[in-house]
Amino acid sequence: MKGSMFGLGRNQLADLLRVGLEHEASETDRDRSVASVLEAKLASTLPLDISVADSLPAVLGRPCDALAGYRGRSTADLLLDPRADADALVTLKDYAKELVKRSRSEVTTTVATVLYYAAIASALVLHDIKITDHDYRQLERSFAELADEPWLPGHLQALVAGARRICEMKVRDECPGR
Amino acid sequence: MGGPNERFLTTDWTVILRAQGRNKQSRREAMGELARRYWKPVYAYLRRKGNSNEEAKDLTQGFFERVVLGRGLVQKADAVKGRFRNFLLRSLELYARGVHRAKTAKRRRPDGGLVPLEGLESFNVPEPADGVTPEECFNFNWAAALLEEVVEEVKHQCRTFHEQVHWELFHALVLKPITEGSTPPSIAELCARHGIASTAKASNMIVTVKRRFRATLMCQVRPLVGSDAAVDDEIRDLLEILSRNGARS
Repeated sequence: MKGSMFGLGRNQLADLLRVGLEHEASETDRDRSVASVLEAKLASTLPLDISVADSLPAVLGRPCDALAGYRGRSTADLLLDPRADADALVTLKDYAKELVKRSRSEVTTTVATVLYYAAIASALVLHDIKITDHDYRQLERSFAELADEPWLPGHLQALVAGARRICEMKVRDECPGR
Repeated sequence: MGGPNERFLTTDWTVILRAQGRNKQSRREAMGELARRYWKPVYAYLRRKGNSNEEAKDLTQGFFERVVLGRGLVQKADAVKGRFRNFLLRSLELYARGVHRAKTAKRRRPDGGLVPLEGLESFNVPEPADGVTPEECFNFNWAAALLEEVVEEVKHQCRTFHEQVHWELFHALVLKPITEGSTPPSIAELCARHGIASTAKASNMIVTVKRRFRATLMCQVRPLVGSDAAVDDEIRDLLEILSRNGARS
């Protein structure tokens, strides 16, 4: 691929630039909003947004404590790092849960829900730990729904797909006749 | 693991600021980064100005070494904060006029060695047809350099996030038909080839990469234009330049 752009004609270059200006017809405004807010949330650096943490007395302190070792790294990094501390994922999950409760917009609720399940998925896939009381059947359904969302970024799709497979196996182990 | 936006943290204006620093090694590295990104449009412009291949290569290196860094262009650049493409082009025009007045390629070789330009020896600007101005040549190659960075970055992100199949779909259905003029395969065919459960799923995967392409393009252009609002304007401006009647269509 390297160098190939320089042999292109003006129409080809223009067509490629237009790809960057397109909004997919299948994408709704809501999809775009969710994708945009989620991307920003995943790129935001840890510890978590202090202004949010300040409004969450129940978890105040814990985000900074558990996530102190990840200072300056992004939320996406934490979710995708197999060497991350599972306690940090628990903190992220709790943070997301509080965010869902306190959310006043549908987009924020959706994004917080994604973070919540992403933390659970990361713990399952990368640490082999279940950090929620939800049973595997419930989790499998939730991961399946999430995996089909068009706005879910690819790295989270892979994580969620992996968690879903683990849940399927656990359900089979628990109910061999299924 | 680096985040998807990690590579965008070092952008053009910050590279320029680094190039203004006192640390010689840091200045040289920043210079090399600027040259790596922009030497092709500069070279294309100088070729179109009537310089031979060798002259244009020497002049390109001289421009970055002596003008961009040596004559305090980077200090002026900080004050301008406008569209970096236009700023660089204006500076290049002034440089080319100076070259015309004192045309001795060897004497223009900068003291202290040349900035290494990756691929310079083998790079050749496709010969434009008559009627293409040096400015248009610069802009064509600017667009090409920009798109090359974007495509490479999107490909890199897909690889980092284990989305090779996402990339394959995007490449087969979007990129290859544009760059090679090939007829794209059907989505059903690609689903069968890659073991994707449904065409809807495949469509979503392509949307994901297209969104990433857009985001990457925005991230690449944003530091070159000074504000979010100017990003679309800059891309539309490039589109207008590319859409004008002329060569290489």
